[in-house]
Amino acid sequence: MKFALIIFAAAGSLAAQEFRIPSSFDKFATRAKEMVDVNLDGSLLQLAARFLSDSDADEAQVKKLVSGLKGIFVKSYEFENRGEYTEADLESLRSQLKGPGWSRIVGVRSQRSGENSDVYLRSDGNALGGLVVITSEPRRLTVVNINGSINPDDIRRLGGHFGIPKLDGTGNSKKNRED
Amino acid sequence: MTAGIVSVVASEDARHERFAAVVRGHQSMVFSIAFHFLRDRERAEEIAQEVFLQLYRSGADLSTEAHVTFWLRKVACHRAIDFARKRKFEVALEDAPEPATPDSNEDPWLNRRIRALLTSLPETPRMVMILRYQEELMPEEIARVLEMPVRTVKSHLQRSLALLREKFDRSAGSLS
Amino acid sequence: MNEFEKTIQESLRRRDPSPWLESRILAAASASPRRSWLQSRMRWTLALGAVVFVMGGVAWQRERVMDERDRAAGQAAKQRLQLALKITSVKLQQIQREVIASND
Repeated sequence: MKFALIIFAAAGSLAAQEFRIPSSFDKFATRAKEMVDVNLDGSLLQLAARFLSDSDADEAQVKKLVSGLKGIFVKSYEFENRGEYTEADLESLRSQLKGPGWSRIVGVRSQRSGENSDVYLRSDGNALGGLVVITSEPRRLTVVNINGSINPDDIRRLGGHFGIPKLDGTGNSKKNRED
Repeated sequence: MTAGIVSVVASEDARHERFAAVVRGHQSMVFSIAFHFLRDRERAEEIAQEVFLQLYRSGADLSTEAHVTFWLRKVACHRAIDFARKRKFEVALEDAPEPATPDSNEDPWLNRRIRALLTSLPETPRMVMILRYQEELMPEEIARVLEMPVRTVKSHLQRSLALLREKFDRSAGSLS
Repeated sequence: MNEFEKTIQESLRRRDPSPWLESRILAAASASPRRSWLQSRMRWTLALGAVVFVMGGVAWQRERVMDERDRAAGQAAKQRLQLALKITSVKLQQIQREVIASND
């Protein structure tokens, strides 16, 4: 709830710029121990939505969520060693998010674990037009870019549904209610 | 009437099937033309997608392999050149980072240097070089793709080679 | 061809695009209108097609018939969507936990 309040309070109303994960991130493909790279543009999202069932409550929820989106792009890397990415790499992401329309709604810095997380929202007039999540740990780097009309709370609430784990207070995943 | 409808649907499906085979067979060529020209994997894939969709929508004859290859090469070249001209104001290509090439067993420094030097050439001679050395086309074929006289192609090739050689020797010399 | 030209040739050998470029193109082609093709290649079928579209027959039939290629591409896209939402949801849940913990 608190989370949702922060989000809506921060959403601005300026004309927004589109965010792109720079092609320089391709270099991590060869360095990473594990990598996830998902690129779903508008046509692929439409295609995926055609295969989501209206009769299944979870899938119907996802279908509704996806209907307002123009693209989902995720890059997540896990490295063997520290220092595989630099502050300049992160800056190439953040600098795009300083433009008009973008607001950083959450920033978490952990001295203990070295984990940093930022959530940015883009506003198109009165509507939310995009979401970017950047999380960096010494050996992990994740960037999520969702382009389109999106409410982060809707995605967060997918936990426990559609095969997505729900985390309890300790960070462990609970089993889905269907299990 | 019904037979007519079925045949229209069937011919569309057959065309889509053929189109899928064309994409599979030529995606590496179209992508590489744009990739070597722009040194930007993401934009190169966007251009490749646009080129294939243009082919699909154009109603071009997909049954002749030579025709399809020529068409794809020509449109990929022109699209990449147009994109680079529009982008000129945004980023200097020589400063662009070199994309990763995980499947490579080449000499990384040498090849990276060559590709970087290539981007210092103006658009037309750069594309001439790509068609000559990536696609291994003869000057006459390059002239047809880029719609220019053969002697212009030959002159671009000659001058670009000399320029690259000179820059390459200079950069290699400064390292040693 | 001299040594220097061979080096250029090696530098400019063809590269493979991302493995999903092909499905992206085919999905976009499936979603794109094909009227221009019909117009340019088979004008006589356009007239026939117009009648058919008015009747709604072909449209209805085509909506119902989804071939195997589209199905495979769609399932692959659905799985990637699930993976993307999974990562996003987990990250947002983790961040929310951190925010709540820091406020407590």
